[in-house]
Amino acid sequence: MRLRQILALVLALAAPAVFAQDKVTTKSWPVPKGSGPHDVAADPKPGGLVYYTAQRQGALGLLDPATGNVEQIPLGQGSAPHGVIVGPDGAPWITDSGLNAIVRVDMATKAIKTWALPTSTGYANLNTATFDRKGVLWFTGQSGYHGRLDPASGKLDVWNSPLGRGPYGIATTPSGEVYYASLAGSHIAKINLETGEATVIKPPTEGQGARRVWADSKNFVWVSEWNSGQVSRYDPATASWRVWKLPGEKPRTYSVYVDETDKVWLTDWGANAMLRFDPAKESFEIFPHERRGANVRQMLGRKGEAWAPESAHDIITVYMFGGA
Amino acid sequence: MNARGLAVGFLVLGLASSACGAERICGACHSFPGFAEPAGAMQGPTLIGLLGRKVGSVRDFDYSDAMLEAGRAGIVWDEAMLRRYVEDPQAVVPGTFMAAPIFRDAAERERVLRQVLARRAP
Repeated sequence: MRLRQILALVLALAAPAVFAQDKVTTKSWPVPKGSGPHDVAADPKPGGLVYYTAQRQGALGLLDPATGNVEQIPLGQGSAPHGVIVGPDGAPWITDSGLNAIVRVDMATKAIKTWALPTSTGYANLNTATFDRKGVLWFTGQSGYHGRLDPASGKLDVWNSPLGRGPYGIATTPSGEVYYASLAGSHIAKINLETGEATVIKPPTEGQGARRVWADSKNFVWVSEWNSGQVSRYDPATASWRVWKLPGEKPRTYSVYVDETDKVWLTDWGANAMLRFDPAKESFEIFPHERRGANVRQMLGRKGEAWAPESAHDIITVYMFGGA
Repeated sequence: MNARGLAVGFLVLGLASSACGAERICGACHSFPGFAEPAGAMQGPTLIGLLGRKVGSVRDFDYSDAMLEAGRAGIVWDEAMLRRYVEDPQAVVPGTFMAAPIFRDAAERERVLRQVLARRAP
C-alpha cells in the first residue's frame, strides 16, 4: 500500500460517522494488516483498553482508543485465538483454538498463563468463554465440547456436548445461569453449573443455526440465528420463545450483544450492516458498514459503546450511543 | 529455549499427537466421507467431491456472494487452489464467509489437508 493510500485510510477512519438514529456515532481504528481480528472485548472501565484476538497472527491485540496505539502480544507457537473476554480479575481471557487451551494475559506483567485441555479430550476447536457469578470460566469447543476452568484451583473439566458438533457462543445471565449456542446443532443449551450437564433447548425454527447468545437484564436469552437470518428470544421463566426476522432480502445473523439499555445489537452479513433491535417497539435500526464485506463475527461492549471487529479489513469499530 | 517456549512446544506436540484430525477441525462446519452430518444444516458446503468441482456449486447450499462470483469466474477446486485457500481464505476469495485457518503452521495445515484429501469420495 502506498503512503498516499495509507494516509487516506487513516484520515477516513479518524473521521467519525454519525447516524441519524438516536445519535449513534461510530469511530474506527486500523489494527495490524493480516491480523484478522475475530473477537473483541472492551475493558469495562470508560476509556479503557479494548482487546481483540488477532486470529491470523496468533496474538492478543490491545487497542488504546484514546491514542489509537495498538500492541500485539504473541501467544505462542501454533496460537490461533478465537474468543476473548475480560474476566472479573480485569484480565483478558482467551479461548485459543490453535493451542487447544485457555489463555490468560496478566496486563501488569504481560505474562501469559496457559491451561491446556486434557490430552484425552483431543482437539476441541475452542470457541468462546464466559465467567459465571462464582468466577468460574465456562467455554465451548466447536468439535462438540463444553467445559469449565476454575482459575482459583486450576481444575479444568470438559464434557461431550449433547448432539455433538456445534457449540459456539456462550453467555451468563444476570441471575448466573450459563447458556451456549450450538451452530451445527441448531439449538441452545443450559449448563448445570454443578454437574456440567447441558440441557438442549430447541428454538422454534428448524435448522436455524443458533450461533451466539447474549442475555438482557431480565434474564431473557437472545440468540443470533445464522441460517434463518432471525433473532430469537428465550424466556427461561416460561420456557417460551419470540422470533423476529431481520429486514432485507437475505439476512444472515452472525453476532448478538445486548447493551445496558436492553437494546439488541446484531450483525447481518447479508446486508453487511450492524443492526439495533428495540424489543419494546419491535423495530430494527440499520447502520450499514462503511466497508464491503466487513465480516463482523462478534461484539462486546461497555456503557454507551458496542464494539465490533471488522475481521475482513483489520479494523475495529465502536458504535457510541445513549446521548453520545 | 526458555520455560515458556518449552511449555508451548509441549502444548503443540500434545495437540499434534492427540485426536485433532480433520473431523475435529474441518468437521465443525463441513461434512466429508465417513463423517455424518448433525441434524442441523452445516455452515460450510460438503467436502465430498470437492476436487474438480466448480467453486460455489453445491446445489441448494447458501453461499456468500463472493463464492458465487468466484464460481461464475470459472474457478475450480484443485489441490493447489485448496492449499492456497486453507492458508488464507480471504486472500483467495475476498469476502468469503470462512474465517482464518486454525493452524498457522504450514506443516500442520498440510497434515490436515492430506487427511481431507485422503478421505475424498471414491
